[in-house]
Amino acid sequence: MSDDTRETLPLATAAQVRSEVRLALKGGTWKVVGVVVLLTLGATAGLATPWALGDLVDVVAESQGAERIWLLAATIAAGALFAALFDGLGQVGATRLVERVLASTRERMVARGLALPRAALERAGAGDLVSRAGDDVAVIAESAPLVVPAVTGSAFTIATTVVGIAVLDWRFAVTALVLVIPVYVWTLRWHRRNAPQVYEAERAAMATRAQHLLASLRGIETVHAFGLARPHGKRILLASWAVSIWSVRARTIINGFFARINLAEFLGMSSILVVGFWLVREGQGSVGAATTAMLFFLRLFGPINELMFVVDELQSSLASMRRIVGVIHADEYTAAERPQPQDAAADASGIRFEYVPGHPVLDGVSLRIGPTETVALVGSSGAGKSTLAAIVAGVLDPAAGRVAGTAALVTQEVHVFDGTLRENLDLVKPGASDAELEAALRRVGAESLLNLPEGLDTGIGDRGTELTPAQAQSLALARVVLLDPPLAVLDEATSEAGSADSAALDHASAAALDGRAGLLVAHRLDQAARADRIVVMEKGRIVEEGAHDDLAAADGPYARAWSLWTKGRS
Amino acid sequence: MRLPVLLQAPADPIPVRPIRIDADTTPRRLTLRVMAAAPRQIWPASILLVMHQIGESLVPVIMGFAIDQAVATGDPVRLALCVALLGADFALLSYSYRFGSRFGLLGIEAVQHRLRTLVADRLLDPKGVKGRAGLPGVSLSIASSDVTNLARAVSIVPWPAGELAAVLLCGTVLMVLSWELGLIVLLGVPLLLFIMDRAGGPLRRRSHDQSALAGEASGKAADLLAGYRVLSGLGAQAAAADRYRKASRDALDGSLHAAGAQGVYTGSMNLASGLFVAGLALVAGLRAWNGDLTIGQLITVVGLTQFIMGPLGTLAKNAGTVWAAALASAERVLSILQLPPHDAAHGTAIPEPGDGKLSLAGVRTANLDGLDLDVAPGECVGLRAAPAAAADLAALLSASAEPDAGTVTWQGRPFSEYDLEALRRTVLVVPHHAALFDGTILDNVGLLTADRAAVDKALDAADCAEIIDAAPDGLQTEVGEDGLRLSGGQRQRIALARALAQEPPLLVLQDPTTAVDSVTESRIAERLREARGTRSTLLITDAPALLAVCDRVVDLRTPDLPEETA
Repeated sequence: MSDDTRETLPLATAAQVRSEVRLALKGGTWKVVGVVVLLTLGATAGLATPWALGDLVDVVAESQGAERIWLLAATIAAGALFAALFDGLGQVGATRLVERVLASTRERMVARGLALPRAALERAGAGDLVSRAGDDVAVIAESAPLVVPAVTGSAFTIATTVVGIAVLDWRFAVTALVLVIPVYVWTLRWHRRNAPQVYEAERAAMATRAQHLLASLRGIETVHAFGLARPHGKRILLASWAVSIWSVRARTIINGFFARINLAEFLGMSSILVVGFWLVREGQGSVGAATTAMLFFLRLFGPINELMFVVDELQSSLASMRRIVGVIHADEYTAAERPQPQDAAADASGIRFEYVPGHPVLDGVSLRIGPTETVALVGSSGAGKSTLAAIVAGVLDPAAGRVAGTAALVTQEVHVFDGTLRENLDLVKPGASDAELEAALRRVGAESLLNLPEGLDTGIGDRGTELTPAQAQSLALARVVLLDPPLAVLDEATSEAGSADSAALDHASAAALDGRAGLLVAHRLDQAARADRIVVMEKGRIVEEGAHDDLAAADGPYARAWSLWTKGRS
Repeated sequence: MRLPVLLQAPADPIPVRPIRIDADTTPRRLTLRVMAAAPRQIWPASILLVMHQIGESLVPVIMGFAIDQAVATGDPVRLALCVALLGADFALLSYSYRFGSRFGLLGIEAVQHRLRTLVADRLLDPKGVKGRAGLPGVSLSIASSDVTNLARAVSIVPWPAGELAAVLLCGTVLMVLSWELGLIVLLGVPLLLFIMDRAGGPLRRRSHDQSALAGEASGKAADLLAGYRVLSGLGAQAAAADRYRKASRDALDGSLHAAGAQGVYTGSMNLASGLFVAGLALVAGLRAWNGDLTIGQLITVVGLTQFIMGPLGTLAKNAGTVWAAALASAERVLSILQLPPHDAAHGTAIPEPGDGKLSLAGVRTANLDGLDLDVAPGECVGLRAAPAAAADLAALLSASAEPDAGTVTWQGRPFSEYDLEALRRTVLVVPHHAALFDGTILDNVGLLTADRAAVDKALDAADCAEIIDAAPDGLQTEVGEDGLRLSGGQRQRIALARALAQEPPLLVLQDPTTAVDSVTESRIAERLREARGTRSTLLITDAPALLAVCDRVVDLRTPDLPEETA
């Protein structure tokens, strides 16, 4: 195993992010155009103010009529009205567009994340995925409404203002641009060189924080029993402060960025003074023109800052977007389609599987399950039973060997989803009728669930009625009945409940397998004994196979396990 | 990478003032306390940001002065002096912002860390919570995003302080030039701020709804991803994705509504400040037209008027948005910090080291009917109980519940007199669903406290030798998040080894071998007694192999229940 045992899900390339955004905007082109038009109109209306203020100086200097002053004030007011209207509408439109893109992207990401093959998700850790769905989505949701209007609005303001300065006297514009543009270019380059890795490190630190928090919250009972609150709290807080350290570094970069922008502003302002000075001295310009140039240039500060600042936000959002889209494009994790087996529910041959290269958990295993046959897998834990079951069920793919057929898999990990009983069941068959749901519950003997206060609409899971382990497991089996697959793989599906409820649950699993093929991973041997065929595994290989009576009579590992099992039970 | 090194976050968290939270702390009060929690960062930040804004507002003043004094006179020495003055002003505004903003962020980060400490402490508090805690995903979202939003309230003082200083400076300069103009600014600004606050009302409500819906959606994602194994086993990922899509659409609807409110807010703010500027321009123009203001003064007025819109706009917009978001998040943060602990009482007594006798007398709970049970020092007692009764007993023995009647004592003292954590170190009740944590096998079994000999002994007793042999890095093998790189049976044995390695005077195990095969189970049963030595053990199980090694077995199951095994 390599030193770094935690893999993470991939990051998307910029091109993948672009194509994702295009996909999400598909069909909404006219909306994008509408938003751009609105924001552009807003920026134009906003120009009325400096134009009118400059004009005001002329009106006073040239002693024109007082009614002109009233007119200019009215112009400023009208400009403000239109700017507010168009800009407000444009902002709403832009935010709505961006929110829609975000929603569609995060939904695609969760859908893709859920569809990731199990091996991939377990290596990367669910925390990584949850953090991408939470923190990264939040980062973009926050910056997007700033970015879009800034780009469209500011760009237009800058363009018109520069034209305005040039119309005043081209020498103002040329001198200022020659001095200022190289500084801006240098600033952007500097930023692009330094910022991305800091933002990525900040996001990664957030993911670690989320991972530690989730682990402790999920295992809270264990944390309390073993007095782990302090070490776990410390671990979370170390991760928390690590995020802070990176945030301050990120801010340092932003500060350096703005210091460079300030330098550009100073150079631009000085150039206007010097050029104005020279023009007035040479008799080629007026003091009024210098004033207007100064006003115009002063007005550029805001939009340029905004645009430059957006570059920063954009980098930060892109880091998050790459993490989100990275999940959608995690193509290397796609599971292969499986062929259907001939005259059998499943057919696996020559299976080899390893979680860690060089450490095979399964080696040369072959297993065929007839159309309505029940096969029990027994053996010591770690023998590879669960891995074989997962491979047959299609949630893991073997490193070598062929498998045909897929199946439903129920493991000992029951998860009751936060929602109603109905929602917990019809996940496997959306739109199933009440009668179907109730029949499935009855079939596995889970009438107690039907007697919950609000029946199928009773809230269960983390925030609802707490189910007993036995109820949770019957629920899992009822899902199988509802799904009605040709083959069901039950991996110690009835073990977690403890032995007290085992009789009822054994009955339930038998009912769930009735009329279909079944693969049963069992350590309670009386359950295995009822199967059509028993397959005994040891250290990743099949060591014994046959009917219960034959194996129990033989002098093999099964016979030894059986005698231990029956001791004290009969 | 070369980075400026001044004012970076230190390796250890920055201490802040304690943030007091009690049962009647309101979100508003909490937000105010957060704002006042980091004075050592906030004072310098405020002063520096005021200096920054003063520098910014001096730019048009200096420029007006330069045009009047240098450009109009044609004196190169004056020009040079003006450019130098302008340079000094830019240096002032640039450096004061650089360090002011960093001080401010350090304050935010310090407070954020303190809040997260409080939230994490509450979530992990050994006293637990009364009733049931929320979804892990919702708690996660509160501990991450909401804490961040709330801590941003720290910035409500320094940034607006700078902006307010700029507005006041402009007002004063204008007052000197013309008292009417000064009056418009000094009266108009508070009026504008008032209007902005009114207009921000709907935004605050929307922002609150939106973050609740976003929390719901991210809780949904976490819940579905937690059940990933179930979903993938049943091929139900697509249906689950549909569920998430629904939650995400609700969150989207919330965002769209909030966007509308934000648009109305921003629009009306821009309109208000635009009308304000129009009024100023009108008065200034008329005064200059009357000859009360010189052209040079008019230029300054016009420059200042244009400038003042910036700080005015951000003043209400930023402070208002940050305040609204902080308030909404404060409510959610309080929903965790004000969770009541479970009802069981605790004292400060520390159990005597070593042996003790556990004694339950006439204990009554919802599922226990007058239970009498003694576990003598060194004894290993087996207990067969219905799941509900076993759960009640586990809650009593882990001191997270008290009996309705009867007493539970250790070393002759009621549980309620003991210090909770000290008692749990003495009476270790292992949850049936024991979780493993990210880290190596050794980390998980030793918990960094047990000595190596105890770990080895425990691993042997729990029959973990073959797990470690098969693991790529032996004891140093990473178990993965939630121990998911191990099989269910392997996890259960590692969890058992962890419990044994702690060597508590009384160990309570619940169905510790449900996921292992019978051969392993009987091996574990054989070794368990020896591993416990002279310490006491209470085994809640139905497994014959385990019950067989107990000194005696107590059967709590109601006799009329059918026997479940042949």
